[in-house]
Amino acid sequence: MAMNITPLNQPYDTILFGDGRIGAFAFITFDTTAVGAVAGTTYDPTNHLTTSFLPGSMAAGQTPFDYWGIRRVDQIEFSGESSDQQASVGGAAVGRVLPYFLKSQQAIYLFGVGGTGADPITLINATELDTTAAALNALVFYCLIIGRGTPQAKGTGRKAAF
Amino acid sequence: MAVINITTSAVLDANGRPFTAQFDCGTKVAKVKLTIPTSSTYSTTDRCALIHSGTNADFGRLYGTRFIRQVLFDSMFGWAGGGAGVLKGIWIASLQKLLLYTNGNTGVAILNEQELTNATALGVTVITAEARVFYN
Repeated sequence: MAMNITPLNQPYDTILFGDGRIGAFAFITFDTTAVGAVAGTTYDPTNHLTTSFLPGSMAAGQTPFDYWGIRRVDQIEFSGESSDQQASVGGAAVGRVLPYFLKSQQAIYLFGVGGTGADPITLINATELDTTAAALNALVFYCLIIGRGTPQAKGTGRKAAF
Repeated sequence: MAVINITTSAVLDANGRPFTAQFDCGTKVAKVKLTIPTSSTYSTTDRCALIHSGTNADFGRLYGTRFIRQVLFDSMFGWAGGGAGVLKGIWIASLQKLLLYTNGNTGVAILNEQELTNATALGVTVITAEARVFYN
């Protein structure tokens, strides 16, 4: 799937923390464009939602580096506990989705939370989404992306280790 | 209909002091609790403004700002309307208004995230959420 990152309230979307880190308010949406051999808006529990900048699963020109020069994300603070209620583990259109950013993998995990089936009151355990087709359709996550830009290593054409 | 004045009250630390911080770029952040008054009716024209409790002043006057950059929610607004679910707040800096979006269940039907429809009654109970307000 293509994960689209869009600055929120530009040009008031950036915070400088003073220690080299950059904070950027953004919202994340998904579309049906296939990126990284993952088609449509299907969640991939193997690769999750990687935010690796190259190549990643993000649409071209819509990475944190493209917008803010962020090469490595330290943390993503999501606004609210979850976003839309489009999908749950079983694929039924119930519950909400809880995003979690894992720094070591530079990836966002999505967990289904909330009700299930005809019983929207009884909570289900937070479990990572499965590969249900179109599970990510209409999801919107508002967030603060905190990261840092690291200069590229000269002469190598590759990113410096960090 | 009119603007819904959402009351903001400072979330205090263990010593009774409000939580505020300032970044090097000048932007500040305050942890607050947002309270939607009872019997409010949402308007897609007027939306919601932030005022402050106890002082009869708006958030900007109390915290010395004319401009709120963003509001990050630590929890969403619990809402009994439209079936069980929550409301999600989205701050629009250019409007300096908070928009309320549906976000949750309504029975077994899918409830896509969208702004509340005009003239939606929010119920007779107080609705609260906690958030961090970033301002200049």
